[in-house]
Amino acid sequence: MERFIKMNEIVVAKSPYLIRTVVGSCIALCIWDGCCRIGGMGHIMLPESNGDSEAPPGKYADIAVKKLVSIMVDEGSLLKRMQATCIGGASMFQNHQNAFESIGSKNYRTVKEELKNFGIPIVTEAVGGILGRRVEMNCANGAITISMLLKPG
Amino acid sequence: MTVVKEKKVSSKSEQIKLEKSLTHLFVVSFNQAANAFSQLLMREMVISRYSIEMMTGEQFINQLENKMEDGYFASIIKLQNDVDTTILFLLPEEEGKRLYNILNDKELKAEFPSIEDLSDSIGELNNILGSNFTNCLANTLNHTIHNSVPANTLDLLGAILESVVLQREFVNKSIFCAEADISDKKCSTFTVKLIILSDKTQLMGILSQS
Repeated sequence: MERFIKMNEIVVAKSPYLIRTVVGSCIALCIWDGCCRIGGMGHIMLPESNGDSEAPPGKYADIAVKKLVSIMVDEGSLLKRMQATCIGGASMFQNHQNAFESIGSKNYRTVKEELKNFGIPIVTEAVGGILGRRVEMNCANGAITISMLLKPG
Repeated sequence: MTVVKEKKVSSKSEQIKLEKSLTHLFVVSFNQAANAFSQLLMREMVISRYSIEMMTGEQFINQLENKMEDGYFASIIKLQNDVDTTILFLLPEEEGKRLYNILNDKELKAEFPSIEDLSDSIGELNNILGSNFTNCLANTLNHTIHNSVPANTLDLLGAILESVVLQREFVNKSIFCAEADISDKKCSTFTVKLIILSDKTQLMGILSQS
């Protein structure tokens, strides 16, 4: 079974699910618990919610990390077994960089801080650059595949 | 340079009148773009579909959900100073290669020039089409408007679109999204998407002054 994760969405799935998304400036946060073979992915758009309580759960990094962790715990995961992977935060369109740069890096910084608060280690990261990334997580074994349309120059 | 100040749009009738003016502006600029495209390619290019809607950035992205993983050439131009507007030109990867061949009068070949050359050719088209919109808007407002040089890329559509809506000007705002498909009238060699994203409140306010 496969599922594409849209912007601002969070999905938690058990083996044998494949979950995937495409990110540019957003962050795809993947969390994996290898013991119970549960994987979660959030497609996070912005760093801070600033009181926007009606936003979708995956929209803001400060809420999305908590929500993703909480759903995984509800499904039987333990915090101490969770491992995170962060992908995205690119600055697309190089000569308009100033307009795009800050949100991608702020997203990443906020995700890192929230994960640190939970004590969840980031085991892999592919962040920054100027290219978008396709991310696929196999919930059978936790394998994460990252691909790009072009090779990074 | 004169700075156009925004004015609050008061009555509902005034709002409707302004929305009609905006729709007219977009339709005229799309038609001018199609004409410029026809002249450039020496073949008849027509608007095969257009829509003008107000939406959020998420809605804008989700309408193209099934194409998120496809490769697209993209070029963006930003209008500067008074009007927060982005002109986005999109073309599927394979169709972009066909367009490049038409522009350069070449037969379809397996080998292509560098991605940078392809992107620059397509960005130049956006420059021409985008200039039509800028001129239309400038004439309507009787005001000088400057635009940026095109920023070009070839990437996954999902990544392109989210980077566009994550611009400071559009995050968490209602945006006007005017979108047109411009196609070759005789055969479906390629269809380009020309999308104009604009801060609705700001654009209506400026238009109400003109």
